[in-house]
Amino acid sequence: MGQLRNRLIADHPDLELKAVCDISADRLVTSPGVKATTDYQALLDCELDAVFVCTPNAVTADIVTRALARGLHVFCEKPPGRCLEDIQRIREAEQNTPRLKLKFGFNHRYHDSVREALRIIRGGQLGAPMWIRGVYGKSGGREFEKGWRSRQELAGGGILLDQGIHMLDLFRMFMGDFEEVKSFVERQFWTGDVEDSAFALLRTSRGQVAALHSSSTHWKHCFLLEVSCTKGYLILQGLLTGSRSYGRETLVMGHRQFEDESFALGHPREEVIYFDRELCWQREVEDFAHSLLLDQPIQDGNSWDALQVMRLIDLIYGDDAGWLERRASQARGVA
Amino acid sequence: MVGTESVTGQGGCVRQAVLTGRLEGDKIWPAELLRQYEMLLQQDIQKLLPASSRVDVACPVCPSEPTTFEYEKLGFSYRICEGCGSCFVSPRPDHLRLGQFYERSEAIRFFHGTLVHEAAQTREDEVLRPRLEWVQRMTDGCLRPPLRWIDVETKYPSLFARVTRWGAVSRVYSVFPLLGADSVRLGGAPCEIVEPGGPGGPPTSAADVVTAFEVIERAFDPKKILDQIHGWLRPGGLLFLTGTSGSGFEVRLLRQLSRHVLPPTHLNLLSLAAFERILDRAGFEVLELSTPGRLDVDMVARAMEEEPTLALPPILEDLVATSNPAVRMGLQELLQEARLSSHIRIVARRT
Repeated sequence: MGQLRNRLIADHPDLELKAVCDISADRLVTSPGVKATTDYQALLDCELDAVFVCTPNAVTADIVTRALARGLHVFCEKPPGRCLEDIQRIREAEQNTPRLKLKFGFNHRYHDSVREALRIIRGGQLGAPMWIRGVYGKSGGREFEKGWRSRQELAGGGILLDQGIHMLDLFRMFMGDFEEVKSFVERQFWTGDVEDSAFALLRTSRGQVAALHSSSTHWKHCFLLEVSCTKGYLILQGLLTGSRSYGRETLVMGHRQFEDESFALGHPREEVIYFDRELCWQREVEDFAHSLLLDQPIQDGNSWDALQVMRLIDLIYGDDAGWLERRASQARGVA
Repeated sequence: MVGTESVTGQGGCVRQAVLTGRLEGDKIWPAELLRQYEMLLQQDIQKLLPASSRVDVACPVCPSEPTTFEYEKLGFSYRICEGCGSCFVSPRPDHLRLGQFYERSEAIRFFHGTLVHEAAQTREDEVLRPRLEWVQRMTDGCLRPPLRWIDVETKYPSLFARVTRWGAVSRVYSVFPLLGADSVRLGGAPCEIVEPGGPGGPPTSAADVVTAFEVIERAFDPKKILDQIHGWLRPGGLLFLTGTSGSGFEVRLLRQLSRHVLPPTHLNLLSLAAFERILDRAGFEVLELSTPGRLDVDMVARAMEEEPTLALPPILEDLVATSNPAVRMGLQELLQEARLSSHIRIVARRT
């Protein structure tokens, strides 16, 4: 992620890279005029306006709070730490520095299919959303268990925190905040001490329901988000990514209609829109830069968004008492 | 053919739409009425567009490229451009004669009266409403109200009433209405009407939206109309085009046997590449290029039954004439996805 942000900063006319930090000196890419260091404190001591924090979850809150205390605007990758307490701590630091901008990398908001879907729903063409169903899964990969994301101590959680968080953020975008949560959290395949599957049902105070399946046991990468509204539906399938492994980014729109049962092929009239240009990362950085340059508040991916989504994650973990117990047992070293 | 394939179709374009679901050709183009329309058209052509009144033209997009004769239809010659693969009529009636044709043609009145009326509900469900939703969705995403809207060669006066009801449109112009100013007035919605050769016109660089439905294919000079549209739009304004694609399955397979590609309403069957070039040269950036037609396979299948002279490769015949409706629908969707259906829709931003 750091390398990606590095490229985006280099491409932005109003941003200039002045320093980079990585704990591994081997990974540092040096350039003339850019300070390279393995010590983030040294980086924060440089003459800077803003910092992009692309670090493992365990150190995120520390770095973000220190950067804010140093008077720096912050762009922080998601998740905003390991747990709810981390984002609460970050928000406290933010409140002490009200003129600074703090943005989190909920970049799925910037995908074309998501933006279009939101416009359609807000425009009322399909009526009010009733339920939403999201499946977000990946296969993990060969070295999956060795990475820091598979360790509770460093990551704070597994696939739900790593990837499902995006889906929860999208749920909030389409439906607002959720009041009730029911969940099952499991580790069904991978070893380690984090979950590899999370199933959750969420409900708003208006009776709208969201269903989430987040997993690292999806042997075929999957992004699927279905929104059913009173007059029609939307299906977001696939996500344009660098690897293209989530398939072509597609938005399907259909109106409520009762299919002619004499020709019931399950093939109603729909409009399928394909989006073939990946601009979400660029847009996200542009948004951040725009807020800095024009001193405008962060609209998307602000700390409130981060707090609410971490609250949901906390509730999802917490609702499955069996999972909490298994996690605690493992932490105590009990088989 | 070199030059016909869409460049933006190879991944540069932002978006593309495909429409699924069954649509029966007869419900949009009732066969018997289409035959009557063609007969009336032949009579009108003899009366109003004699061969002696026509002028030779080059390819509307590649004027310096060589062309070859392709086929004749209703006394008009269609030629293929070796540069962009577009098919176009030459010699063609001049601009003045075309204007007179549209004013006086019984066939045109029959089409927009009887034929369209017969298929009114289907056209409403499958053409008008989705088209309006498409325009509304794109403008919602790209433009801030209040919007100034121009419709070129208005064919659907009822459009204005609906557009006005959105609340986002403050001013509407009907420019060069195809069936005359009265047809637009009968539509009932307030709008300013600009007639060919008439006084005034839309202000320059002021429109937010221009809709040009089935305009390019019938224009004497497509470049000229696009230049005019560019002049009416403000920078960043959007152009919505629909029409017939010269790269389309039905158009290319059936050629002169196509029942609804008829001169002089179809003078220019631009290829995908040609559309991109002509828009680029006119100062537009393409935001969407789709061919969401749903009737190619149906039309070709019907032609196979009705036209004994039609000879297709056997494998194509098998595919098109299959009794499996899922295969036919799948083929039509594949054509759409490959941007090879014969109906094209484009959104372009004025740069």
